[in-house]
Amino acid sequence: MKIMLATDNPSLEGKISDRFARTSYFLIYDLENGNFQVIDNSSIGTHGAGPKAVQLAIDNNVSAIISAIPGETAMEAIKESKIKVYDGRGLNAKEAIEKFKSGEIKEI
Amino acid sequence: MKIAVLSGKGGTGKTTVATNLAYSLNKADKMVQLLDADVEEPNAHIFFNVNYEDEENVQILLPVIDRNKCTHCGICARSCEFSAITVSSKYIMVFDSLCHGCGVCSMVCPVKAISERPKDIGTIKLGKTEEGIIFGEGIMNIGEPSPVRIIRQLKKHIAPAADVVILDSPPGTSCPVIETIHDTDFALLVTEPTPFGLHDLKLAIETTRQFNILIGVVINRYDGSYKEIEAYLDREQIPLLMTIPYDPQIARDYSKGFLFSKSQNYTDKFLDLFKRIEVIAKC
Repeated sequence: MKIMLATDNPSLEGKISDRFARTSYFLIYDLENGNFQVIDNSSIGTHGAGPKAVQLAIDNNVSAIISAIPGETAMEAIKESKIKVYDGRGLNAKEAIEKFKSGEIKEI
Repeated sequence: MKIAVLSGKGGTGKTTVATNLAYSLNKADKMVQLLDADVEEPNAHIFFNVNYEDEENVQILLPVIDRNKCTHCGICARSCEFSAITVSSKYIMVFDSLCHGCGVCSMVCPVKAISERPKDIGTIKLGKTEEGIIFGEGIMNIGEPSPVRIIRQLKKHIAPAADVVILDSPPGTSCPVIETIHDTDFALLVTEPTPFGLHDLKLAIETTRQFNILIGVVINRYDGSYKEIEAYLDREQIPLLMTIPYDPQIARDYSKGFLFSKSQNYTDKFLDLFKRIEVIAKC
């Protein structure tokens, strides 16, 4: 199972960003083996960031997203895609992953 | 001659310059057309009594997905410049508010699952002011993301017989401004003597430099105390064509919807502005 984290830094120390679709980085984290892939999101254009980010999650077979509260169009796409979103505000990526595993993180 | 009136910053006086220039030239027996391309907030009409003669809808085409035909291949989503389509193995979703109506999705769909339906995004209104200025304006519907198509359609009504066409542009430096200045002869940039005015003037000038277009500047609310704009224009060798004084009477007239160029003194100043534009255009 893979989860996607919106972070301000391309590492597990990175904090969950204040924004979902316009975050600086996405980490695609594999819960089975602890490997992760970094996607640089900093050059995102001006249009359609929300759906673009959700498309990225779909294309990477992600089951859950951990971020701040997504914007309106992103949320629409997330709902349709059946991917779950969790509120990771105030956590770094590592903490968010641990809380996700233990079920302590809140679904948005 | 087609003159686009621009400003990087909002509220510097584009409409003030566009309307007063149109009025003054009309008074000097030129055949003038004024087009309000600031379709998110068209307000040039406030300064005239316009007899509207014609109205038309502006539409774009949005994709409609035939879910029985769609194979979820995702080519449409990848082709969309504006991320208006999201596709997964189970669903396909169109975001109408992000769609710019370019039609590329229906062109690339390998199984012809995408057809198009029209959607109204705004209105064009055409008429004449009581002084005889040929008038047109675009009005964008609330909630629409892009005014570009409305401006494009408005510009189809440019009167070939007009001596001077004045286009009142939206503020900023993005697509709607570029659509407005496209194919015009002169960009008249209106600014105000403040650091914000200067900052956004520079952006607007950089934008015009991407095009083969002549430019000149008007400083509005000028009281001579902030010299940075003149210094910048000197350095860049950009002509300062007019200053409009910081005058409470002008503000009072404006707030009542009066054109201050109705006084002969200012009519002459706007005619002088036009002469300077003509001189630059002939060089």
